Amino acid sequence: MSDNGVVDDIQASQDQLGAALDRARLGEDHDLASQVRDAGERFVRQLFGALRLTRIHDLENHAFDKPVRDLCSSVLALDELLGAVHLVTVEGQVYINDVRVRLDERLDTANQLGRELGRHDVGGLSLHRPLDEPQMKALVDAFGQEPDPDNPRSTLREHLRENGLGMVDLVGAYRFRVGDEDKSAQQVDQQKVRQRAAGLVDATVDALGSDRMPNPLPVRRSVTELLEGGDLGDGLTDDPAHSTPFARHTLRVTMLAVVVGRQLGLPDESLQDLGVTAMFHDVGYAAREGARPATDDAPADPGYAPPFERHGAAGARMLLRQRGFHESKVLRALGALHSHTRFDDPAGRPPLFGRILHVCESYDAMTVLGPDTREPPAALAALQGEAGRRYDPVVVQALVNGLGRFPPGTHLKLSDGRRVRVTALPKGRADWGRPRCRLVHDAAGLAPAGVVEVDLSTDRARVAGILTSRPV
Amino acid sequence: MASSHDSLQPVDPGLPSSAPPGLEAAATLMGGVHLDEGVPTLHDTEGELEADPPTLEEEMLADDRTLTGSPHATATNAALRALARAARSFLIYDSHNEAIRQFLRDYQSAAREALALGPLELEVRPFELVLAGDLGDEVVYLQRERDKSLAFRLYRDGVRRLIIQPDVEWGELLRLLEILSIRYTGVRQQEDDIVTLLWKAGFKHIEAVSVEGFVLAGDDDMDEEGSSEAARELRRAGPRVEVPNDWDRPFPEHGGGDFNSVRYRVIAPHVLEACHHEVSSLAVGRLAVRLCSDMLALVRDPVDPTSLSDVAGLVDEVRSLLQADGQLDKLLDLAHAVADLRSFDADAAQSTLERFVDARALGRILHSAARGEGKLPPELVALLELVPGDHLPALVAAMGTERGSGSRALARQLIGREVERRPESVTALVTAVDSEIASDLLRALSEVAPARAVEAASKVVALMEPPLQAEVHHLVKTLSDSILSQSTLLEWMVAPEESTRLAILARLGRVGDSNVYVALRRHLESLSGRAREESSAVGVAMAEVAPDRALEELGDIVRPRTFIGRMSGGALTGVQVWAGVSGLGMLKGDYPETAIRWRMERCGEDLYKHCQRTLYERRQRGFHAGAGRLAEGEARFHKGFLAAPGRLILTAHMLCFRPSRAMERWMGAAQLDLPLRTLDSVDIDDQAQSLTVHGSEGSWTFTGEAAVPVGSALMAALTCGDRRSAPGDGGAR
Repeated sequence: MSDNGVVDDIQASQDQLGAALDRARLGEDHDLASQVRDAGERFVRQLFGALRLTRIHDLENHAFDKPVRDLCSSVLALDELLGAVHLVTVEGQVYINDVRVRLDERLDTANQLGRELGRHDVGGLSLHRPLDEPQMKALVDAFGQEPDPDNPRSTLREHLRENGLGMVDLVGAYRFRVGDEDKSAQQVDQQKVRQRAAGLVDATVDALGSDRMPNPLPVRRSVTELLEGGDLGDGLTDDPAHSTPFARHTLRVTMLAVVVGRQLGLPDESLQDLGVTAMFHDVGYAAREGARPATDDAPADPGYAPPFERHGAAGARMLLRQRGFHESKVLRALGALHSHTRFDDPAGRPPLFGRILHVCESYDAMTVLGPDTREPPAALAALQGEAGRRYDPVVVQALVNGLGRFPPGTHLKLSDGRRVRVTALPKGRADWGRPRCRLVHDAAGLAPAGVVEVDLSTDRARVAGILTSRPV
Repeated sequence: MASSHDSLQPVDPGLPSSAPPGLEAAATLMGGVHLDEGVPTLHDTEGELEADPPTLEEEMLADDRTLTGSPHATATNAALRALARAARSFLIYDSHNEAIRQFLRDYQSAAREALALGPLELEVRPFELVLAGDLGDEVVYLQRERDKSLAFRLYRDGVRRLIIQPDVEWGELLRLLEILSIRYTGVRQQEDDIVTLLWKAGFKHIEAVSVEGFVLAGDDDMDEEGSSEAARELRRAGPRVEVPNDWDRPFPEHGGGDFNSVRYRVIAPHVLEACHHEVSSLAVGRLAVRLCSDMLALVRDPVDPTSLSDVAGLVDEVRSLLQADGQLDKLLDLAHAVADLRSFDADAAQSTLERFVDARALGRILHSAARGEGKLPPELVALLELVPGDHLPALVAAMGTERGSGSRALARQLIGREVERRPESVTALVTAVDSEIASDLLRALSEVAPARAVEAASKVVALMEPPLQAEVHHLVKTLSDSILSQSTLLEWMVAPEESTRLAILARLGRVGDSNVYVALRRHLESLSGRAREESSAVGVAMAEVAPDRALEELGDIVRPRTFIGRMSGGALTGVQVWAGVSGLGMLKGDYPETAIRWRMERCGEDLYKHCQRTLYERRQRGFHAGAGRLAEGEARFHKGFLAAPGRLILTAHMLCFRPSRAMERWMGAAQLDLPLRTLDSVDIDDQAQSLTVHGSEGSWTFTGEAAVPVGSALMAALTCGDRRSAPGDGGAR
């Protein structure tokens, strides 16, 4: 072990460690963690108890009255703390929203609950809203029935929906992954990674729009996966399936932001924060202004999404629901507030993440969202035209450096007549103007049978022009 | 990863298999090799039955299993135990506690030893860490209690392998400890787990291979239920909250831009550095204040629905951060941002501002600002001025929690400000708070309003509280005579602490006049037999305030003037004799010396030594016998038919006769000490060489060659009439 004189001194080490932990403790919501544990433990015991009771009594029996009532109040307590309640049983343990519930191991409640749920091939369930007593009875009853031998989980899921329990999600059995799994199929993995990320965006919008707490940890994990995926070029052009346009846009902006961040040489920690900030930057549109509960005289008013000029503030408000100080929370909220603030705003220069997001948002708007989209190189030129006024010139340059002369998605005509689409980001200055592409049409105008890669840094053909209309 | 999951591979075939059956079974399940463990014997177990249940501290710091095997494995086990112990210690101790330092030392040295034998390639299992060594896999960490288990922490968060290279830097090991400590204390569960923290650390010599902590048992694209689209659709049902289709509209308009001007340009390093700095941990305070300011501006915006309740939590968190970090300049900025709310909602702004200077806030500020140079930060003063109101109660409450020397020094400065504004409030508080804080208040008062300090001290001087006594002592030593009168000093003689009373007596002796003599004597009479030091101090003070009187009274105490008194040795208490000896020690001339020497021949060992020491000190001061004599010589003392030869000595205060014959000295009959003030007249016969002295107690006649010169000097002295001590003559001033 080499001695780094800077922190070799034990006193200095303790000071450093102490400062880090003191800062970390500021982010700890001790009350929340212990309340979640306590309420979670109650909920798990009560749920297990109610499920076991179905073996003995009919659901109409008054023996269920108190257990069901207790269950409802436990779920209500958890909902007030966390929003959606996610219960996961895995290998003899139970987690409520990632907080491990401590159960008396002598009673083996965790394992037994796991087995109860496992009869229906269920490893976890999510309650997105508190249940009233009839609903809770219906839930207990559903689990208490004999599982379908062929499709236990689907059948149970259908049954729940038919009984008005759409707020309950079921997922399969969980396991701890044992070892590092085969990651040789990087392409597939990255598609799955992006798909998961997009799904997370939608889930986040859903959660925050339903007045639940922000939950950044899964987003952070997802961003880490994106960052480890290497080249993001594919992701900029290959939108994940089954995701909403909003989620796709958010994901693209996230990847563009990471491109910028890498060009700025941001350390991994900041890069991760930038990615998480980008994933949350437009959540303000999930807010509802003017929402009003029903009264005796009037029905409930669901409200309306905030207009453009207020969505940033709405997003910041949502993100600030998360309790406990964390620098990343500050960065996210500032990102949401300033993702459209002009670089030359007289009130002051926007923070860095805001400046990055602004450029990335505008790039995506010009190249994808429309209404009048333009080719990526033209979008870069337009951004550069506003550098120093609307946009930070350093950020614009970083995006230019990172995307290349012909950013992913650009359609090019080569000197030999081939038509290609750029699919990858440049590795550096050397191939900045000579990207890797995929063949769209050969020189004869025919589409290739399979995927044909064209690396312009080694190919003899040159770029003859940018195709402004997309080939059919 | 290839591993020996399926068979046991003994490290050394010669080692006996001594692991308990349960563990062997576990080893079979998990693979790897179990090393010899320190398994408690039956004897140990029996002893434990009667032991008290462990405290939380003992429980959390109780060592994980000590495992032995190959040298590398043994050393790795020690390092991992030290790591786990250090990480768990933060559950028990404050992060700046001395105990933590020892854990860090242990961790550092154990890690060094283990890494000297090679890299640590660890497989992470639910309760074990397995070292991939040259001799095969060896279990090097075992802890089955999830709350304490290092392995479980890693496993639960998805870490499956941890590799530490031999050239790892101490800074990296420290960062690893930081990450694990954070997770042990359960912090940041919403924001980070071990995997994200490890990733962010960007280690160069530590590699962590991780997977998602727990995942669905079936592969994502291979739903066990047949991958039906319906199932997928159900699982991926669209969100109930939808983003409007026209989000981010209208898009900003852009010109065409010049495609040819788009070029690769290197971004200068200093520009990149500036960007990094914008989002570094050093910028957190600035960013946080920026966010608060932006959000508070929205609160003031009549169009925006942001309310103060949306922002209050953030303001509190940022305030706490800035206080803990000692970023007072930014704290002040934040306070100004809140103050700007006054025009919008004065009450809300005020109540928010008050939390900037409540007891908890001030405690944090004192704690963090105390790390500075001890000067009162101007930002703190500005903060207090920004928030109107009486800060004294909060300050006093904060002082109750922040007792470090740096914090106390700052607190006193703050109190000093309050004293200037409301001295009566501070004075009144002295008797209402605990003694430590009261002592700080007294100190602050003494520095800013000393008269108030005296007033307050008078109320507490009789309390047996060491901090208060120390403060009263300080006041006695430092306050000027104009503030601290001798009457107050006499009142303060009720102080229960002897050192305080000694300080008072010393000061009285220095500044008091003869008016305090009687009080001193009364105090002497009240002293118990063990109060020797104090009685000495009283004697000294008496000699200093009224030398003449002291000479007589103390002299009479030490060596009674009457024959019967001398024969009986005096019926006075020991402490009074001690006081007398000490007091006489401060007075010049023969008489004190004679008296002390007389007492020396008739006392116990302790008093003898006291007399001896006093005589020595007198000589050091130049007060020895012979000093200050006006006249002396050989003469005879005629008493009745007796004529005792000896030496006749005249000083400014006394006429003394010292017989030369041992018997008469012993008997004391011929020894005389006559205070001049008791003498009325002198008759001198030149031809007869005789001197007769007349006084209130009788007449004494002396003859011999010294009679006339001594008589003449005596007559002159009596004629002058000034028998009070003058500088260098009999007194101690």
